[in-house]
Amino acid sequence: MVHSRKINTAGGPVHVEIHAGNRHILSYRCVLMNADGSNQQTVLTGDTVDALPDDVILPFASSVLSGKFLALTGILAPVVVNDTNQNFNVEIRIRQDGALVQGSAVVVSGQLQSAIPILEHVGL
Amino acid sequence: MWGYSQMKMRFLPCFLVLAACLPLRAQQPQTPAGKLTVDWAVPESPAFTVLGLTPQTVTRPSSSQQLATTLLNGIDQNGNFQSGIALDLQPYMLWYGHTVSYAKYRDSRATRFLSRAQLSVGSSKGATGDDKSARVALGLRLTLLDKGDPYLNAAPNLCLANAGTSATAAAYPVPAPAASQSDKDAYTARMMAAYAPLERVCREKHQREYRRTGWNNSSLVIGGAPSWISTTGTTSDLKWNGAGVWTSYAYGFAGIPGLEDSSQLILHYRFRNKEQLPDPNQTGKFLEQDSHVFGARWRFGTADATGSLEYVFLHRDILGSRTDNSSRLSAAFERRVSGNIWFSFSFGTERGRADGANRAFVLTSFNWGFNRKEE
Repeated sequence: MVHSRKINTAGGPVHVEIHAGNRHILSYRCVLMNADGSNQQTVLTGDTVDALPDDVILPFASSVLSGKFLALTGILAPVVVNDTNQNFNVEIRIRQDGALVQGSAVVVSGQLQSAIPILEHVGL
Repeated sequence: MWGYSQMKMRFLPCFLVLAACLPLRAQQPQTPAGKLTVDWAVPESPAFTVLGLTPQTVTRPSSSQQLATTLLNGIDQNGNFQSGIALDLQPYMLWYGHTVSYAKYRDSRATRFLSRAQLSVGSSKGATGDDKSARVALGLRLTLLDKGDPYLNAAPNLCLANAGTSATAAAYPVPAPAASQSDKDAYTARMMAAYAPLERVCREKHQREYRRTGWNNSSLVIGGAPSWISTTGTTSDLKWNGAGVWTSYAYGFAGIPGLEDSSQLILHYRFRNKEQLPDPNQTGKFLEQDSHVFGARWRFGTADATGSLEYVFLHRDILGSRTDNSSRLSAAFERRVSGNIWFSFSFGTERGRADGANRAFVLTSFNWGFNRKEE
């Protein structure tokens, strides 16, 4: 799905944080790209199990980032697999100058019984 | 202002809707339970526990379900047929689960404590002439220790995380935002195709390991539940029926060579006060009793075959009548037949029963449990 969080081109650095709630395991890759998918650059990769932070300050000026897309892709896996539906939510928190851009995180939520793929695009 | 009958009419559809819409965790038949029966498993539903309707099947505490219902039809500890429903929920996970990441749960004791807390409401209704009573209970279960918590088992979860990372890399590059839905679907399908075999390896390895070492993990749970009873079965007659508190501690001998994968010691205590019981000598009359149950059980063996020795002591104060102290000493053997189906064989002896009916006994049964599948 394609979302929009328009950053301030005159603002400070853009900070991206990935959050997976409900104790699920998210293995992910964050990729910056042009609108046509060209010039893909991985800016953050990892998972929510290891001890490494799941956030990054994008190494580009806001004026350069404006108009680009940030893609979050990966696999969201429940630790416990059973026959019941389990809530899930994945959030892409994009902050600039300490505040969430446009006031809210991008949230993907629903229910799962087993691992599901994640593919979200955010227009900056 | 609402009257009781109006409340009943309004709440009844809510329960029926809940019962119809929510996934059923377990619909387990009850088996007649002797007066000295102890539910060794940590109660799945605290409300049912204080109502005396806890299933006797082998179950483990589930930390995965945020909302579940349980239906029961069976015979209670006093031999009366009961039907009931319990609604169990993990309030913290239900309302704040979206904020609880894997790392936060792993690293924060407070988060684990709150996430594991379970609240339940249960009701049961007698269905025989001797007991037409309706009972309602609220229950709270707090897990203070759970060494078998799958969320704290780092190896399989890292394995799953690495599998996801590999699969994500294998599907690269990422479709453009304007790509067609079929292109995006093809991309996610490639990713999942790469993930599936890796995930299978992780989960099967974990399952084998858990069955070998996880059956006797240490845990400590405390619970409490107030209850109400209507001896006539109507909500307008609901009155206080006392409360119950209990604790179960299982010690898995972690770090002790020779015992850590082969033994488990379980201690259980339960106190129940002001419990209304049908008088077996007068139809429609009820007795009030306080009771203490203490049990100790030593299990030994493997994940597929266990033996056990147990001692149970029951103290009952029946108001205006008598005090009854009785005990049971028994040995049991359980063997997994397949999946979650177990064959059990036990024998033992009772002493101290007020009715003088002490007896030696031999019991065989098939039990089944509804455990987390990956275990």
